[in-house]
Amino acid sequence: MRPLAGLICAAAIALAALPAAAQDSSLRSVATHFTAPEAAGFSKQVERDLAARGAQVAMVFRTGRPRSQLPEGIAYTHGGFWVYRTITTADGRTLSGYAVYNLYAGDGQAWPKNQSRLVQDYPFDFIRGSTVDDVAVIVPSPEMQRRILAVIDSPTYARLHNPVYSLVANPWATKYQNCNNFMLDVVGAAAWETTDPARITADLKAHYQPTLVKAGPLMRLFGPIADSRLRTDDQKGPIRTATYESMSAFMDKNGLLQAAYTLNFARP
Amino acid sequence: MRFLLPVFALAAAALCSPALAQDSAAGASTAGSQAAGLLAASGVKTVVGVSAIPVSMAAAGASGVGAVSTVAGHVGAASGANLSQAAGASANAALKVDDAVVVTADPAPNVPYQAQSPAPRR
Repeated sequence: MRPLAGLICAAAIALAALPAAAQDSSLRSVATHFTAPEAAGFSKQVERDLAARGAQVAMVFRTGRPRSQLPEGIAYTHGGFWVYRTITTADGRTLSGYAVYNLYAGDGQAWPKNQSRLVQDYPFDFIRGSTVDDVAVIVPSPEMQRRILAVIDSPTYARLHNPVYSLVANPWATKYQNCNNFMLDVVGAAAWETTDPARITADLKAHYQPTLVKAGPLMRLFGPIADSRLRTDDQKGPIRTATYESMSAFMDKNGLLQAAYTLNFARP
Repeated sequence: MRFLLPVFALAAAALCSPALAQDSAAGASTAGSQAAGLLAASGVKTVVGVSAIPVSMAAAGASGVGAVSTVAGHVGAASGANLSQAAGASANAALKVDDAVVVTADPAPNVPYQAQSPAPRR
C-alpha cells in the first residue's frame, strides 16, 4: 500500500503544482507562437498604440505559457516597463521608440534560475516570448509616468531590486521578488516617493491587495525540491503574488492610471 | 521512508514540466545578429540597438515627461503621502515611433543605462 500512497501523493502534488507557475520571467524567452516577422509586427503595433496615447512609460504584460496552464484569474506571466527613449543603433543612427526594462530570472546558463537581474531590451524581444495574440497594458497617469521614469533613471531602480527570485514571491514581504513584484515596488516608490523597500512593502500591505494563487500544502512542501524558483516560505496563509490584474486594480482604485486594456495582434 | 522516493521522483517530474515548458531561454537563439538576420530575410527593416537614453525635454513635447531624471531617487519629504497626489495631471501628446524594428545587441546591456550601481544583495 505504501507505494500506492506515494503515487497518490505524487499525483496530488502534480495537480497542485500547476497553478503555482504564475510567473515566467526567464531570460530572453522565445516562444514558437509568433514567427520573427509577426513578433516584429506586433511589437511595433504595441509601440504605436502607446505612442498614440502619448505614453512615456507603460507597463506591458505577456504570457509565456498557454492560458490553460495558468491559475484562475491570472492571464499574464511576465511584465516590463516600456519607456519611450532615444535609441542609438549600432550604425550610429538615433531612433525614437520604446526600450523595455525587465527583471529576468536566469536561464540556468547565463546565471542561476533562482536569481534575477535587471535587463534592458526592446519590444521585439519582449513579444517573442508571448504564447498568445494579446498583451495587457497599464498606462499610468501622466504624473505617475513622470515619477516612474524618475525612479527608473535613478539609483533607486537598482536599489529596489532583490535578486533572490521566486515564481510566486509575496509582494507583502521582501524575501523574494519576481518581475511583477519588482514593477509593483517601482510603482510604490513612485507613488509614495520613497526609496526605502521596507517602507514600500509596508505601504503595499496597507493599500494593495495581491492576487491569491490557488496551491495546496503539498505544493508548498515539495515545490522547492522540484524547481528552485518555486519558493513559498515567504508566504503566511494563502499564496499571494503580484499580477497584471491586481496591479491594475490597485492603480485604478487609487487614480494612478490613465488606461488599462488588452491589445490583440492585428494579423495582416 | 522508501515510499517517499516515488513521491519525490514523480513530484519533481510533474513540477518541472509545467514550470519549464516555456523557458526556452537560451540567449544564443536570440542573439541580435540572428534576430536581425531572420527579420531582414523577411524584408523587415531592422537595426541593432546599442543604447536607450532619456528623451530630451524638447523631444518629449509639452508634457515634459522624461526630463526629470536629474531629480530622481530622492527621499521625498512627502514619503508615504496620500496616493491621490500621484494621480491626475493632463494627458500627454502623441509621440513618434520609427518604423525600424530594434533588436538587442548581444549581449544585452544591463539596466539602467550607464548610471546604476550594482543591486544590493539581501
